[in-house]
Amino acid sequence: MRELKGIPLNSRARIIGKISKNSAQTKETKSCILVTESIEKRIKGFRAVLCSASIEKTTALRLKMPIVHGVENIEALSEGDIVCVDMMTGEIIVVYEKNSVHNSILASTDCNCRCVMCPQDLAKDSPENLENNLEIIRLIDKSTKALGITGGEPLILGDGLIRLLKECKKRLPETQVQILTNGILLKENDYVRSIARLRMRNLVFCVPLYADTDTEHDFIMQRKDAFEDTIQGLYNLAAKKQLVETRTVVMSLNYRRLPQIAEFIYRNLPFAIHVAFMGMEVEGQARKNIRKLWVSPAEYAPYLKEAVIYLSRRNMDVSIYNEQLCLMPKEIWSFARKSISEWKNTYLEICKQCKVKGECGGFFAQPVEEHKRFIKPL
Amino acid sequence: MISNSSVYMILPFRFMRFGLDILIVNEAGEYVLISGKDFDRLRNYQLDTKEDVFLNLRNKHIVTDTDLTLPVYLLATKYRTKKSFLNDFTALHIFIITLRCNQKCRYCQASSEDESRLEFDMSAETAKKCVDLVFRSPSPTIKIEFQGGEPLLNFETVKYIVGYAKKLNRMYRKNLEFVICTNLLGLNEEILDYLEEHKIWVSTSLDGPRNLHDANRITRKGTGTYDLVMKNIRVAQDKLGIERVSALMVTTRDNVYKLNSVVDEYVNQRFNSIFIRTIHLYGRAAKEKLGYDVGTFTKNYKKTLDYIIRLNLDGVMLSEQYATIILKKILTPFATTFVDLQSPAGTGISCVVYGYNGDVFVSDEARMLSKMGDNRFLMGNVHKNKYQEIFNGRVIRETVENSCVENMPLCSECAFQMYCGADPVRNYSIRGDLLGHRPTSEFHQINYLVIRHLMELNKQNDSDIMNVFWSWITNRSIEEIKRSKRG
Amino acid sequence: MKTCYVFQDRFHTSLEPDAGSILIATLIPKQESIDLRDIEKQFKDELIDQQIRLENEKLFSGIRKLIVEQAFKPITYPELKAKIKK
Repeated sequence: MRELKGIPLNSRARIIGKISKNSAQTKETKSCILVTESIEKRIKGFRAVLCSASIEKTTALRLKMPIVHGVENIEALSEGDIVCVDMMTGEIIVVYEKNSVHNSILASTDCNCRCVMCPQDLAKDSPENLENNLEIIRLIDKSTKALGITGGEPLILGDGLIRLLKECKKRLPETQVQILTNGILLKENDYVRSIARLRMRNLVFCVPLYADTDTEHDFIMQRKDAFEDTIQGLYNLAAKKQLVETRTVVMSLNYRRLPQIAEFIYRNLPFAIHVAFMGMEVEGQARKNIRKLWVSPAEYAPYLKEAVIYLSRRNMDVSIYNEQLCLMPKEIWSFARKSISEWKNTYLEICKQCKVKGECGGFFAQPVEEHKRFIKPL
Repeated sequence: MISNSSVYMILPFRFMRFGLDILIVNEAGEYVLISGKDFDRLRNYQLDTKEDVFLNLRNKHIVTDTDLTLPVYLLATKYRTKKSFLNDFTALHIFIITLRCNQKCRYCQASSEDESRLEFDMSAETAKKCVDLVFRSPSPTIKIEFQGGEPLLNFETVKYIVGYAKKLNRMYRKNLEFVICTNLLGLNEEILDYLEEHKIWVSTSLDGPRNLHDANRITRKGTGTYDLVMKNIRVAQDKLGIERVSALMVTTRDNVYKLNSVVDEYVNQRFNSIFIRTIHLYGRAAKEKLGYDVGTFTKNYKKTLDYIIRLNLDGVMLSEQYATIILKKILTPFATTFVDLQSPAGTGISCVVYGYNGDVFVSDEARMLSKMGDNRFLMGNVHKNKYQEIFNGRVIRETVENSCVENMPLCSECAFQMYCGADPVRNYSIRGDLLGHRPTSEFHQINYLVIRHLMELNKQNDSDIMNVFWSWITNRSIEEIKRSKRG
Repeated sequence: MKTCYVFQDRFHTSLEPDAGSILIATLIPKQESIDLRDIEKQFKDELIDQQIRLENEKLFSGIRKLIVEQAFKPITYPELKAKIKK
């Protein structure tokens, strides 16, 4: 998530609010945070004020409301964004971007697995997380097309997740809610039942499957019986008519069996509404283990192509995420999606010359050196 | 260091030699091809649990060195899916509307009666009782198929049945479909309007270009029917839409060597599928000796299948139904609903035939036998027996018990078991017992050879051929297959 | 015996015991045109395959029964696991 920083004054709390650039009073004001260049007139009603200019401490104290001043790059904030401001440190985290199609709620920072390529830094959940997330959902615009629920492992929250989903159903009935989960805790049929009872029309469970066999998958998840539990979870979901999608991250440990993974999904999980193959996001554990996990796109391209064609023939919806077009065989270009969040998305210098840059998804931040070597304009 | 022996469990499989390889099939009908050498190593517990061969067997639940529960669970679930056609019980109800016919095809099984013999029409009273019985079926989908003789000759009863069935369906709310199997000779404006209004599907017969079609499909006077059939096919297609009119063919001695020209005829008449069916030697056909041997059929079938595949690659959309059904069994996890190739056989439990006089039979062949004096497969009569007596009686039970390939000699261990089926009525008519004698059974031989041929094509994995196969299985064009669904 | 059954499309078969535990299988072609090349190898191969199938039956029949039972009388995963352990 995008982060900005400034100097906090007048409060030590954590404040969540929707960005407004208009100081006029409306019905919305009490849930908003004003963004302004400098503070001139009297401001009332907002949860906090963020301004780019530095202001005098005395001026600030007179306003009697939480202020973060001297914020750099304040133009990056758009009307309708939702931010979480830590008044102890002056950190401003953008938890929701109005102009992005890739918004997520970080439901949990903890997880019941330790996947070798996990890009998320894990930590124990703090108790206010749930309440903060509920508040964020309340502020999100109803017209949002899609919202992810991610982590860590969201299911760890147990009933907490049910509360989040209830809030989503209430506030965002038209939004497609995608839960990114390993599905392990869904082997408890009672839990699946309580989710199914919510009768959410647009709920999709996005579940990772890294191998076509239990031994390989369990190793990557670094958890015994992960495969067995996940399959039970998936079948429980299917029995309750929940929508399921599978996600497979491509890495050195599994790229040679991508076609077999595709086959396993088709034969055992034919009810999946979508199958996604993803390039690795080199952060967190993935960055730590990069030497062992890296495989060159030239090597895995033929396997990826075979897997995608396999599923496409069988009328399953397939997508490729986080891959660059110059690395993929042309036959599977139509399956590539622009999937990286806009704020993370970058291109290399050399990409400027590329004719298909517009259709290409680009990279997560900066790719590793080995990866760069393969990039060429088309 | 790769260890020479590992501790692993072997799970149930069937196998068959396939060229230099061994074809292994698991309980759910999923197959793997491995070398003869690897097969020996597998059985002698010499495979290494990390090698590709082991992993390929593992993901098909043929070996495991971890818990048995997951493989058993997955195999059971997939097996259940393959047999899910059993859940709904009888879905296909064939009504023999009349035995009268305006044609006297040389191979006719239905033993056509003269048009004047009205006593062979199904009466409204009989029809009503049959429809009452139809709706007793637990199946959520009901397909009523009008056959004969020639159903158009007793169209009043057809209309009665459609009306009465739709009326009952207001209460039952089933997914109700109608098909009429007609030679189209008697088609007129009024009938066409009715077919369109009630969304009735039309299935007609076309044996090839004029000389081949008229070789066997003739009027009672002995004249050809091709020209009139052509004209009425056009009229029906234009009025009802191309998708609503399909055609079936019968392979006879006359066209077995010329199947490619039959295919061309189907393409010219804008049909999008063809079913290259073998002939069953009952009734008239047996008398006229219209047969050909298994070798001749399979050789020409393979040749023509190749021809059809090539046409598809040139942009013609024409599927071959016999191949498509078998491919669905081999390549998909789903059940198929073709009643003539399943285990237990579809006779009675998936499909049932109501004779013009209310007699109920497990299949049309069973009705044929009855006409020739053998009532072995007569389930009962709508005027005399109740639903339970008919659908839970001795005949249907015996037929089911003796048509499970899982228990039949040779079938029980055959690697193609999940791709094939049983035909107890045919076995009985040839040898007097429902189980039949596999080695001499033409039904077995032809199915075996065709399944083997399709398996061979799968093994070759030619990209073009696989695209054609999948376009047939998923009912999409080859272009659509290559494209992402999201456009 | 099963092996003889397989060849009954082309041959009349009979099986007779010889001295001790040896069985002699006699195959008489039904028509003159039947191809007799390799017939001995084919028969041997089929015999081996049938032998393997017999051994397999002993190995599998329990699991096969489990699978069909689970297919038509399904129990939950943990129940299945407990059942298999026994």
